[in-house]
Amino acid sequence: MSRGILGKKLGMTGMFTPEGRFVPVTVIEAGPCVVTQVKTKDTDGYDALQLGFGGKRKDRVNKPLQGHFRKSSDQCFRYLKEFSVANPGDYSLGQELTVEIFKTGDRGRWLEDGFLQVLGRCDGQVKINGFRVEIAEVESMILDLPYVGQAVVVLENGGAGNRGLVAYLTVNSEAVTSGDIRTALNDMLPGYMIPGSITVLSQLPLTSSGKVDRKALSNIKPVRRGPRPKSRKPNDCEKQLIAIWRSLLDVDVKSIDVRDNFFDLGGSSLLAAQMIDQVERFFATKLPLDTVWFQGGTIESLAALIGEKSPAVEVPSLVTIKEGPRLPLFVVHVRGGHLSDYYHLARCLSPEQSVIGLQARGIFNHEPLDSSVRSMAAYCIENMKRVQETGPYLIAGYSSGGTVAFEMARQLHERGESVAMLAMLDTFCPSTGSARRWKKAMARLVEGKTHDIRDAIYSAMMRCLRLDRLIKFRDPHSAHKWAFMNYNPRKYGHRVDLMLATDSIQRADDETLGWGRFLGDGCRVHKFVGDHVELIKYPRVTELARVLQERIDKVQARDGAS
Amino acid sequence: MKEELSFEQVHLWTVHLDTDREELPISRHPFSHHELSRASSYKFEQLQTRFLMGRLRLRQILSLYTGCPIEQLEFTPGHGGKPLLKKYPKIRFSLSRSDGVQMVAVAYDREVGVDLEKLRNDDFGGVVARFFSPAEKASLQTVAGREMSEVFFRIWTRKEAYLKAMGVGLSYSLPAFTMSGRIGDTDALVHDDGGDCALTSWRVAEISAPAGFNAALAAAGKEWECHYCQFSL
Repeated sequence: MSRGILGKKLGMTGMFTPEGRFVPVTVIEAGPCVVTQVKTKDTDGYDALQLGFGGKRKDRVNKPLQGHFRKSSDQCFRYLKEFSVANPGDYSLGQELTVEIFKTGDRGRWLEDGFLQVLGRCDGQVKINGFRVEIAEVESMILDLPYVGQAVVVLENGGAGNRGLVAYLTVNSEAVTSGDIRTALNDMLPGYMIPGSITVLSQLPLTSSGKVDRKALSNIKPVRRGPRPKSRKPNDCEKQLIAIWRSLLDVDVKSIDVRDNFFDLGGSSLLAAQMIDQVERFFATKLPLDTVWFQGGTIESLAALIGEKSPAVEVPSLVTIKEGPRLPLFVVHVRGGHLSDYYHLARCLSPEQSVIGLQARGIFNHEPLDSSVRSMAAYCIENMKRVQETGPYLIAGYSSGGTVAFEMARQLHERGESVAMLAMLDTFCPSTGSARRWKKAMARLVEGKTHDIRDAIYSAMMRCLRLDRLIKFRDPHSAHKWAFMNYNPRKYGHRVDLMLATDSIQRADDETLGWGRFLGDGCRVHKFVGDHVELIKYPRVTELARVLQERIDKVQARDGAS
Repeated sequence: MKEELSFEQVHLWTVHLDTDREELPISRHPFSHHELSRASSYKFEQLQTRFLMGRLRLRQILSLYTGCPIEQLEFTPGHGGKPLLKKYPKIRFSLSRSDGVQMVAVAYDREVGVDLEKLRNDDFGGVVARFFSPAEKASLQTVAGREMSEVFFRIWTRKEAYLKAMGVGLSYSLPAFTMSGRIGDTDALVHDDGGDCALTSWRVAEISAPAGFNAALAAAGKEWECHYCQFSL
């Protein structure tokens, strides 16, 4: 809606915007104006308001005009101006319009005759990917193209924060495609100002009053020609690469797409060198450093190269996360076989402390996947012994890795071996087969979520019929999920350090996250402010590392003394 | 104001991209198509803005030497793909950005390379094992902890500045040459498998960088000095 008022220019000045930008400003004494006539379609054939502004002595006004003014008020005015409005019925004769009809952020335009017309809200100014974009500016740049007839740019909410500009336009020549327009705009506008979708129409839909019907436009479903097509889900190798990138780039794992370039996410050459080093550690595949520059540098292309380089991939089951002269701390893979959760933690431990990751069986190769916690633990023990033949061992596991670590320690004790430290980092006790699990599944069912009950019935049936050995798991994730779901922890009478996030304790409503009943007097709980993810990320991970290192130092001093 | 650049000098500019920001001009920007598409390929706003601010500063700095308006500067790939100014091929420059700070080195008819890295604590063991020369590895073995990461960054920035000056990028074998890890070294290139002539034809020096950063400058020849310039609009 346009709003208008008459005013008098007083002069020029400048002022600072809240962002600290200096903008030139024209000072106008705007209004008050009085409605001197309301014209409607019925009476005059068109809708308009006549406004009067600037006082004038009565004796300077001629008789017919005096009569005209008398209809609305006692005042006479120097200036009279008509504005076309859509809703003249909202105004009455003699009504005073003041500057209050404007709001901060309205956009105005100088008319040729010196009047200021308000065009609409500055809502035309929108933020896209954090850049302030003036929609009208984009529109006018498109209109400046010689072959464009009409153009309208709108902001479309694609849902899930997927906001983007969409341009609809008509062109003078059939040969012009939206691609041509995009190319032309690329030279004129920064990338963030170029509409994600450009749709050429034979004509723009108009409202009855001859304006572009923006509502109708939004019903036209444009073909998305955004720069980033929706990408597929990553495979296992790519998931591991994403985990490596995340640990280096300080970006959210969800925001890494398999087709994102390493440098587009903020990578530098040093980070690229570190990344290639991590790839070598995880995949036992030596890629040249310049791969990152010259062969795509995306998760997808790296995964393809890794596959190419080692067709029968022999992935190390032991990953040296950190080197150091001291007895290694063994950390156990989490569900799905990732070790990247330990990067930050490892870096915050003492420089002398070495950290070795125990990988799961069958990740990235064709060995059968483990689908029970017992066999997962046995595999990890087997690998651990390749580094350190006998105990005492230092073992830690984060999240689901803690459950495997627990089972490892139990098996080691059973064999009469010694475990110096077992640390479970925010591990929820898998509530298996028990009434608790059914109770939880039922509660979820009441909420309308059938997932848990389905899983529970399925696993109970498979176990009853002894069919679980026959299940062929397609990926480590589902194999491990099955394993944790069907794990029954046994009693463990030795020292266990539970390092728990306060948020998790609150969620579980249990100081030990369910482990209490399996642990004896040796259970020690260390609490850390934050949630499950914060526990192992900067900056909070430093506290966890400090406590863990203290514990390691203590048991080693003790073992050394004895 | 026009900057005078003598053959014996390498000018070094340090600009802060996050704090000294200008509102980027929207429709009358100075950027080339190439720069714009590079900017839009960055995935996050901060990276895009830093990149464009950095390019704006680069253009502003180069226009001080050429007198050419910022929007008329044209870049063209030179030796090894290293960008050159199309109309002023004698002016050589190198640019390095790290976490909101940018360094620009400018020289007259002399190849230059600059590298800036933000210091961080990390495990660089694997990078050292694979990309450092035996002598560099040895010099890192004598130090520990915090000092080790400082030495690591000194050597890394020197190595990268050297490669950038030569215009060979990281496809050149990194372990094939050795930089000293000594603090404040003004001639850090110790050895290059490529031949002894490298030792006489290049000089790599530590340069002062903002707190929390480490930087190195490499340039052809030995007879040059680094002149620090203050950027102001």
